[in-house]
Amino acid sequence: MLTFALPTGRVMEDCIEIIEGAGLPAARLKNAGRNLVVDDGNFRYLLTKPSDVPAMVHYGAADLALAGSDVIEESGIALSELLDTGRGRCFMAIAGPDGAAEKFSGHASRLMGMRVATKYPRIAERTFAAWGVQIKILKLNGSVELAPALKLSDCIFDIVQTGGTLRANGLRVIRRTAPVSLRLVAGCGALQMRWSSMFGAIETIESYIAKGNAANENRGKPRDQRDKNLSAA
Amino acid sequence: MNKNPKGCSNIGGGDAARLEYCRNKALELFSLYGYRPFSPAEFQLIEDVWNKLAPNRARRLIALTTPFGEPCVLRSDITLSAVAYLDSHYKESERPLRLCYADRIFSAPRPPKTNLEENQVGVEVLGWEGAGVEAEVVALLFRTLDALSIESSSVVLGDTSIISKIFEDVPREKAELLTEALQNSSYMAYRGVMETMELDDEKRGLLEALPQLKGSVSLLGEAMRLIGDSSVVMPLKRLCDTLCKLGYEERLRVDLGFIRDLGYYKGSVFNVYSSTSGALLGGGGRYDGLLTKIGIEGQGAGFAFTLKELAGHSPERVQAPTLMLWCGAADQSDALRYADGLAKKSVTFELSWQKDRAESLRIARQRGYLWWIDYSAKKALSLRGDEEIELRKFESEALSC
Repeated sequence: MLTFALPTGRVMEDCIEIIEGAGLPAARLKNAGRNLVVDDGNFRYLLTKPSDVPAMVHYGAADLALAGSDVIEESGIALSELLDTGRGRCFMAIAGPDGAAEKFSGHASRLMGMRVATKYPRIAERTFAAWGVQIKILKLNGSVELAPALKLSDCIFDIVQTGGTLRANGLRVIRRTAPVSLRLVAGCGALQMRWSSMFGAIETIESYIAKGNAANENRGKPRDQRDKNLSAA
Repeated sequence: MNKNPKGCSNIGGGDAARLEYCRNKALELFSLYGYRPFSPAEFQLIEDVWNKLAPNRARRLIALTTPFGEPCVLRSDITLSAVAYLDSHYKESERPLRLCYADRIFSAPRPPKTNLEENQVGVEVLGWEGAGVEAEVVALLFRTLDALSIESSSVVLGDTSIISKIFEDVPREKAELLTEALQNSSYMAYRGVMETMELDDEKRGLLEALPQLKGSVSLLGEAMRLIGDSSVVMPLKRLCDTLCKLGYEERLRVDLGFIRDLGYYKGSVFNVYSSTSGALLGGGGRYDGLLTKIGIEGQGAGFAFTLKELAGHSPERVQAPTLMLWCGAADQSDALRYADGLAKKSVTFELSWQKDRAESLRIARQRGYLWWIDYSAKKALSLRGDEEIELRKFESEALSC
């Protein structure tokens, strides 16, 4: 039996789409209800909080997982990244009110000691440190956009999808720092020990994603070029 | 109450007993194979360590300054100390040197772990120039697992020289990125680098397929076919053949994409996993690169087990303690002389100096002893059946069993 850890929440639908599209059993997964462990054929799906997915894989509770690159990096856990699925795309960014944006347009020294609210303290610290800037981090677990309005922080560091929540709270993207997407990952040990059991599932997911990418690339291209892309996929 | 610093823990009770059992059993076996005990200093000068480790390992060193003002690190790796010891104490004619150890190493933890220290037990063979050492080391690793009844375990073997060879005709900058991707086990990054390279179909196929060869030893044939030059894979093949002849085929796997720091390791690298829990029990490899950095010719090879993992996977061997000898009402020298006699017969016992007979008996029951002896009354009480017999009868009947 192959065990997948899947993150609940924002990207769950993307995960189901990938699993179903790749031809892996997904009927029970789509009707999981409140079940956190779903067995379907030779597959077991663990539905878990996104931030717990890397640990599930690291400790061997799951062989494979789909996890956001933001969550993987924030966890600091060394996992084997097998594939960028291209799903759940968004980006990590610094956002804030106009006053904060103005500071970012000036000299880096003006950023020293900035108060940054974030769910990602590890990545935030590393990002600012790379610019030689030390910051004060306010770790929040949700509704990060509130912090500048309440004068708890000067800006926020968070993932941004459409920017709607930012605008609704009087904030705007000041600087994009990294793209985020859903990755197919495995534990380094599991990869060495159970590769032959995992390989089939990895390959079908990879091939499904590649076909999707080729189809996207083809939109608006001449017929002969489309055929070439699809056969390569 | 004493509180340990975060990342440090005391080990006692059954865990400590299992740890000690594994340590002693492993060292006993290493000693039979001619490995001499080595106990390196816990502090190492930063200048001796820093440039010998890859940056990601060097960053995890725990630095401090000694009261003598010397910038040091807590020992993070016993191999470095062993190599330095060889360099300073053994002439070329006295090599190879075989060392074994059971000691602690210290480093900043990698998430999700939080432990700053780890008990390791392992071996090093240093300064040999011919064949045989890699097979000796991996075979000894298997023998150690067998001696500890951890037969449900597998060794995954890789060979850094195969990857180095197939990257030889790749531009250096790209080869470094590909190597880094494999070291980080990021196949996504590996593929990303390949997409930026202009390669003919054959080379692209080789670079794509080789790291995916993971599994049984039979995959080495496929690796030879892909590379087209069997000599590249032969050292790993020979090593696997030897281990298969020793009966370890079922527990042996190969991973052609498995590499570690190429400046340190040259040749085979391996990880040991429990087949039941999937936990990493230890690892090792051939580190000629490290020897070269120090200016020593020849090979270095070794392995280390994490003692806590060995203890956790070794079957329970809880032996009920034999007896408590109550001496509270006896002459101390007489009681100690009697204790010496028990020790000579290899009987495990604990002395009880409690004045109160009932309290001594209560403690003996609590600690699980089989017998409680009242030395002054020359009586032995079986704590299983509550049967009391004369001490002389106990010695002739119970102890003779």
